[in-house]
Amino acid sequence: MSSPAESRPVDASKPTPRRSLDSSGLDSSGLVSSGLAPVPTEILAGIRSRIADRDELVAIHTIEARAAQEATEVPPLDPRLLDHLQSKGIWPLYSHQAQAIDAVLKGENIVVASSTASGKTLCSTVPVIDTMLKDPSAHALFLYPTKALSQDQHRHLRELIDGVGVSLETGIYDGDTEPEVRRRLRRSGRIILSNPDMLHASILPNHGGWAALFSNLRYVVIDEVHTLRGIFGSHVASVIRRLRRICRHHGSDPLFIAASATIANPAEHVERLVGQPVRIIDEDGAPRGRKHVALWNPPLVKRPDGTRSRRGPASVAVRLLPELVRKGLRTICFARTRNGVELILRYIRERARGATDRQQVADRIDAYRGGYLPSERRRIESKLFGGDLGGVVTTNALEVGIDVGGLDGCIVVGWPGSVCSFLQQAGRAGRSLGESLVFLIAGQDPIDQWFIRHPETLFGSSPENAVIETENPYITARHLICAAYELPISRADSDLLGEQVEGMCTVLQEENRLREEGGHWYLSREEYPAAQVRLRTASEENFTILEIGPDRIIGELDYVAAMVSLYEGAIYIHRTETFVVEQMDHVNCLVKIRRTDTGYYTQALTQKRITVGEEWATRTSPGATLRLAEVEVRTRVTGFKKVRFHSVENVGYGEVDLPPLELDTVSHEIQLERQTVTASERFGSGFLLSSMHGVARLFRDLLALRAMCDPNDLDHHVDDDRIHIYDLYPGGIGYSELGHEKHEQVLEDVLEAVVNCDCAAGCPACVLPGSSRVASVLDQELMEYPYPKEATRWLLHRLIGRDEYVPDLTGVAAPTSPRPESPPVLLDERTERKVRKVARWTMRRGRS
Amino acid sequence: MKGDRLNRLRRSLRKSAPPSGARPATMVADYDGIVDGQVGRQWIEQTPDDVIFLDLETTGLRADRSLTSLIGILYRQQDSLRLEQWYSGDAAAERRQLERLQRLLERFNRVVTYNGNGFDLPFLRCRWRWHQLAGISDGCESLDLLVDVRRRYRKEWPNCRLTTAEERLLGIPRCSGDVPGSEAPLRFQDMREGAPLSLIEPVLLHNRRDLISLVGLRIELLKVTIES
Repeated sequence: MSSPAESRPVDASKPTPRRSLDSSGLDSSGLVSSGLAPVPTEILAGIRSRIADRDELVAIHTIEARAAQEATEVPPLDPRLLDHLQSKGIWPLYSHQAQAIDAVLKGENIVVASSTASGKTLCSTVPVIDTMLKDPSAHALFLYPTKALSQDQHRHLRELIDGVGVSLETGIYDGDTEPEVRRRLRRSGRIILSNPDMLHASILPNHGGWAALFSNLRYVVIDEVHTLRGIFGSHVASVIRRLRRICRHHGSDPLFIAASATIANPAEHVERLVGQPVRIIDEDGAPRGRKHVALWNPPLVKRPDGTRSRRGPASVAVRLLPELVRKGLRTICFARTRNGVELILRYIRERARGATDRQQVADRIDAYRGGYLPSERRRIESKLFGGDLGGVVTTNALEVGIDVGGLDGCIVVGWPGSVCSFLQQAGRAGRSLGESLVFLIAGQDPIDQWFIRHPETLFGSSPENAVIETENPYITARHLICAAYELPISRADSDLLGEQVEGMCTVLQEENRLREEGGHWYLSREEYPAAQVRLRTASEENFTILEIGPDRIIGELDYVAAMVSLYEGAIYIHRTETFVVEQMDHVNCLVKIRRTDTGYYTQALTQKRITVGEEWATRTSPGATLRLAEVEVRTRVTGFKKVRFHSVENVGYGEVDLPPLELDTVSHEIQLERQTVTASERFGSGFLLSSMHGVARLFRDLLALRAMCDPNDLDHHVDDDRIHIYDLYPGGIGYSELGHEKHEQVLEDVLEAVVNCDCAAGCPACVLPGSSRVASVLDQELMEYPYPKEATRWLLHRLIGRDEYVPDLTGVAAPTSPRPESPPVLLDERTERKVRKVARWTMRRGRS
Repeated sequence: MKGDRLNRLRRSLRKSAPPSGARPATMVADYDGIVDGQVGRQWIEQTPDDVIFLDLETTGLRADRSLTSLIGILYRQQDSLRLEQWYSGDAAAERRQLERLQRLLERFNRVVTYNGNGFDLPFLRCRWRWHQLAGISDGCESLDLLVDVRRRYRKEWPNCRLTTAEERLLGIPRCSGDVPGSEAPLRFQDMREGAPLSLIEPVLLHNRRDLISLVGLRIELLKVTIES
């Protein structure tokens, strides 16, 4: 074992070699004088004095530089691997990498939870390849949450393997894999890259065909483990227990190596996920340059009609991004929606027209989002990585994994929905040496404005918990059926499948799904159960977007996204060009569009409706009747608005006739008593609606806490005199049932949360409605109601059966959203869910 | 789990269940008998009693997702040949039959098959493994007649199928009513979906003929070996 190399320039870039700025072609265009690296501090000072007026840059928080901590003791690696790492300058390892590799080689499960770009990938690839070099029969399975990520990671893995010069068969096994490749991988693949869905539906049920893998499986690597939360995570926990049972059958006992973004509870999360003790590696030995995080509140402007409103965050980004790129900062800009990405790029290009120097800058900025074809994404990624691009506008598609090299700047347009997400996005900027700049540009939402007023809570915040439920009977019962297909189940399996395995199998036998004989449970009928269990609720079907004329495919979009953004008459924007949707072919999942120059874009108008079906239980409680019932939740696009670019004037409406998105689930319904409704009338309009929203939202968040589920797995809806709290899972998953049973206790929790919150009249941590945009467009009356906290307390007192609470409707008003410059954006589902989650985080902080 | 919640779970399971396939009417059925009239005396005499003939009919070719639906065995019992056919309609029944087979095989030193090395024995091993049963012991040797036939006649015959070997070596053509072996999985499938047991009678017959042919083939191949 050679000792760590003498001294190596710290910036000799790891984990991947990065170019220094002056080699990226900037100087040739004469935009940066003399090839000197730009100094973010100066740029920030410049921006401060020029663009923004003093009030706009609300807070600047500086995270100091940190030197690399190199490993003093290094794990005993195979010389071939060691040589390669040394020749690539990836040596000596950072302390956390050495710790991780050492722990794995000593036989411990680990989770690496260091910051973005700290070389987490090496923590799994190095021990895996080292083991393969020493043991020619060893196999490994890598699981990634998305297909795109496995593509990206496979390229890196191949580079490493080829660099080491060893012959190892590897490959991606997912829905897109060709049959011949599938056969080859089953027979001789040593490292299989896949996703949890494929493991569940294809690999485990056919484990006989994967005997080579399962007999010699040494490592299971799970990347981006923080995304395996909520219902999806709970399903994956069951799949992993099935995996371990199959491994045991074939005589292997793999170690688990997990990598996580910053979450509050990585070790606990992974232990629950894999059902074994896990060692956490969260010390971060990677060097980090100084980073400035600036909170930017766009200015209030006076409109022609005399009203004052705040500029949209996108309009700030449109000026800021080219500015940073021109100064030589390679910058990534995160928008919340796909349409937001396209609008920002379009406006940047438009502003640049007519001025050569501006145009040169704008040409070096591109968009990147879900929906582009893989080949187009690859091209943009490599241009960004290679330095041909100076800036990129993206959605959260670039938040995880994909390596685009070192970036100097990051602009977050609008609060991304969770602390975890914000840290991931902000972490995208930052080099090992030199400074970086992060801007969070606040939107008009109450939650954004709340952070503007309380910047210290943002900088001192801890990220959210990842929650999974390993014993949810709705989930485990279904996976038991899948497990019985794979191998007969016996009592001896209770160590992996859970203590309740026997009882659950008995229930399944009574339901005629399993059949017991001689202490073993078998499927009782011919079926392929894995096909009936989906790990994720979102459909994986994609719409293909075809341009009529040249007849070329320009993109693809998943089903839910397509339903709310593509309809006949909709404007689809693809890298600044506008297209009109001419035809939607739902049968073949094909969207036909035609290139058209329009001065407007479109926004869908949606409507959500809940129909109550069979009642499971009814009871009365103070002030309300409670029902547990099957419901059908229908979300329908009813029409669309045509919105003029820039001025955001409404220039027309269109009608659409689309099938609604339907969810059959279970709801806890709270129907207010007649007297409650009448009693509220004396407090004026908006009072009752505001109180119901306040109760509904907090009820959901606190129920999630009690059920140990992710708040994203529940939703709420207020309709007339009823509050619905329902499971976001087809057929229900038991959370709303718990809400029905524990209604009173949850309400007590809600009251406590409202009373103990420090705010005066309402804040995102408790009852401010804007931060919970369940519907794309909330009632104006509700958004602007000034005393949501008082209203909520009043309703809670009635629902708990306490003495009447006398609301004070004269004090300081809650911050209402100023009339937005742009109409409310239809959020994509993921962002919408995330936004809601923050409430839980801030609220819990407030209580602890 | 509380009663209410359990009932709701049941409801949810019922709702999500696919349209139920009927349960197979028959789980286990055994056919057992002495073979006489069809074989000459010398066949019986030349069959040692440590040899067992085996032929499987399965629901498919991939052992990890198919069942051994029918195990056909034939062995010498005193002065006659005994032929048994064990049917299993589902995995639980299969386990019972495989346990029996495992016990029975302990009494023999050689298993005679046609393409057993390529199909029957690996299939059985896989199924034994699936049921976590020990399976066949090493003391039992495999005698795959297809191996001999291929070695000797590959160049002379159009193919080496069992029917061809029967015609050329034993001089018996298959009668017209015989179902092709490939149809067996379909019939087993129908059985599992509730068809009456009579549906597989032709398969039983086919399996029976195969087993009996193996007895003759073994002797003929032995003769050829001695002659050369």
